[in-house]
Amino acid sequence: MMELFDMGKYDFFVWGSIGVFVVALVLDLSTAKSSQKQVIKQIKAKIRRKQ
Amino acid sequence: MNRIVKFYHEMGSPPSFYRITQHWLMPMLLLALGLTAYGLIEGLFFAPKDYQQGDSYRIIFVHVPAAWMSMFIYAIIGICGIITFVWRMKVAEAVMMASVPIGALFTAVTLLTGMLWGKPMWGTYWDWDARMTSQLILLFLYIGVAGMYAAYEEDPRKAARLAALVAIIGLVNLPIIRYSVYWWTSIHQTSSITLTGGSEGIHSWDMLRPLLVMALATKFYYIYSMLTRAHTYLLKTEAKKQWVAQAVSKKSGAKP
Repeated sequence: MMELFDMGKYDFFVWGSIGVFVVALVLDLSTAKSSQKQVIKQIKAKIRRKQ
Repeated sequence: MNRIVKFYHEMGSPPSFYRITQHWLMPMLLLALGLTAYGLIEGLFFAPKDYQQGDSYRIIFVHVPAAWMSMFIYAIIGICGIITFVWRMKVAEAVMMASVPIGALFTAVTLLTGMLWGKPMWGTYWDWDARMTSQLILLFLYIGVAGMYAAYEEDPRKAARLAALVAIIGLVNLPIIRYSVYWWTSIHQTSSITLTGGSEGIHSWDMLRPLLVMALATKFYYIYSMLTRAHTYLLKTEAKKQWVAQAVSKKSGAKP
């Protein structure tokens, strides 16, 4: 099983790159969703105040 | 033809854009996740080793799609910038500003993965080479567009027009990035794939397939993330409009 993950002497560089890519996408996904939630929350609060 | 024109006009109206594109989100995310998983698994575990670079070439499966996206997204920003500047179309503003953080992130990924590839291949993480420098300038352009918008955020229409101006000026950097490896002496290799010349650097279909799948995955991911952010932008800037109250109430399942 470990052979599958073995990239020879390039382990750090290959897995580091994959890590950078995955972390970036997760970060983008979470910031996009959290900012949307925050804006919706603010709009809902405004609507409640109006009512 | 009438249907295409009607669709175009519908997409130009914020409520219609929001209503139509909210159904695209889940399919786009699922396609992006599925294709990313397939592309990475095939590229990392099943694609053959490169005869010169060994396993280190596998960085290509994240580096090249990220690099393509960094330029593709900037081109979208530039086109939306022109539409924003000339016709003041609100949806174009939303797409432009929604694309900025995603493009900046893909540019940062390109630079970081390029550095990680450069060290074992060139013996250095960084060189002030034309390709790398122009890519770094692209990151600064993204930051510049975002910064310009943030500086005038109290007036979103004005902020978007000024950000659009920066974006349009920055378009000049795209051909520089693209042809930098041909115009100047560079340690960076020439393009792996070109639209007109096909695959110049990669000749094995087993290597090319996961790369193309990853390129497609990043496109779907961009559409998902851009639409999510564009929706947020429209909700925020049109907060006083009736359609926003209806959309928000619908999202929470309550009556407006």
